[in-house]
Amino acid sequence: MESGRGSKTCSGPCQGYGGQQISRRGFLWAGLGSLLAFVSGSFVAAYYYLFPPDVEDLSKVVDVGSPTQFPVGSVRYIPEKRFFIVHDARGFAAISGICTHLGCTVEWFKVPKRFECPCHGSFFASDGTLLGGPAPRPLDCYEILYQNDRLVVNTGRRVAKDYRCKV
Amino acid sequence: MSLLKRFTRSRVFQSVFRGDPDLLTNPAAVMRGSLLLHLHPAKVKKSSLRFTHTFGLGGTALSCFIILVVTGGLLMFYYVPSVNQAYDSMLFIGNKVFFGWFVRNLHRWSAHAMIIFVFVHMIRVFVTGSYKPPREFNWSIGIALLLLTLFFSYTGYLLPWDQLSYWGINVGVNLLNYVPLVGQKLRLFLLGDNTISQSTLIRFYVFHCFVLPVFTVILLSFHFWRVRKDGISSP
Repeated sequence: MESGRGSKTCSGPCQGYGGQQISRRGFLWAGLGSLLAFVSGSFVAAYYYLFPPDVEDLSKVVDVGSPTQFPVGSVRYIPEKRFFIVHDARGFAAISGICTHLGCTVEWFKVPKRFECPCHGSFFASDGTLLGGPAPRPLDCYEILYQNDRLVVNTGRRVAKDYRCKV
Repeated sequence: MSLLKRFTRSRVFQSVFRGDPDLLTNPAAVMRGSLLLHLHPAKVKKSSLRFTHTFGLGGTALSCFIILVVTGGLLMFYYVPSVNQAYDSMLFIGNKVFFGWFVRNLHRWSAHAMIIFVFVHMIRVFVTGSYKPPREFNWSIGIALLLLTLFFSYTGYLLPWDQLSYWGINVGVNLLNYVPLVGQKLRLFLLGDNTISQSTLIRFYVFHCFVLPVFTVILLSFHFWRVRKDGISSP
């Protein structure tokens, strides 16, 4: 027990690696350091643990199906990515269903032919034009392309209001 | 003035830690000034400090409990106590979440270890006669803590919601039918239904994550306070 104090040389267990002597204080500091390293390592692991893996498919390109499923004059909601496919005389448009006020999902009403937000009553024309209510700007329009007999929407790309996809 | 001294004399340090400015250089003051160290008795008999007298078993059981609280809290971020999602969320933790398998297994093994250490701790207390006056009430609290620990395991057993847990709990609650007078009522209280169902799962979850921890922390505090006041028994 009395070994390892001060500069006394000792034989046996206190003789460290390479013949160096470890003082009791040094040993305790090393222990405390290892403990701190272990605890901070645990915090790092817990940090990564708390962020979920594969939360959702972040791909922004959606295949919405064949154009024949969307007759002229129809407005259909695509719930996975919260947008509408609008087919009017000029072609196909993909209109975002996310209200530009505070992000609620707007609803399509056939009778006044407009999108209405259930939260604060903003309303928009079928091409996304802002008609009234607290929303600051029109609904976003996404790029929609005709590829291999399918309509493909890229919600990562915004386009102008009069953009149409012709089939 | 050394950096440490300047730090301990700073206004921030002084507002957090009570006592004299040279607190860190005075071991007794450190003991009195810190809530955590204050849990230790102020004086102990040297003979009672011998490792082979207590084997640190109570402290080990407490360490298991702390690990269980931390890992249990982490598991709660992903576990869903619903009959449709419980099993899948358990698999999700084990297979997808970063270090999830480690957290779940740590929770499981610490639970096993805690029961063992609580039990061996009680044997040690019995063998050294530490249940005798003035410590007989603390022995009773210890019994209650043992029962709480077992009930923790029992309620946690159902949560993975697989075949093993379902039939295990089925056997357990059917044992209650043999309890005279209150058996049926107790069974209904635990199950929240006539069979093991969604109501049972949510009840066991609430017992496991809220009711039992609250009672355990209260009784543990009392248990440690009594150890501090009565002192550790001398061999």
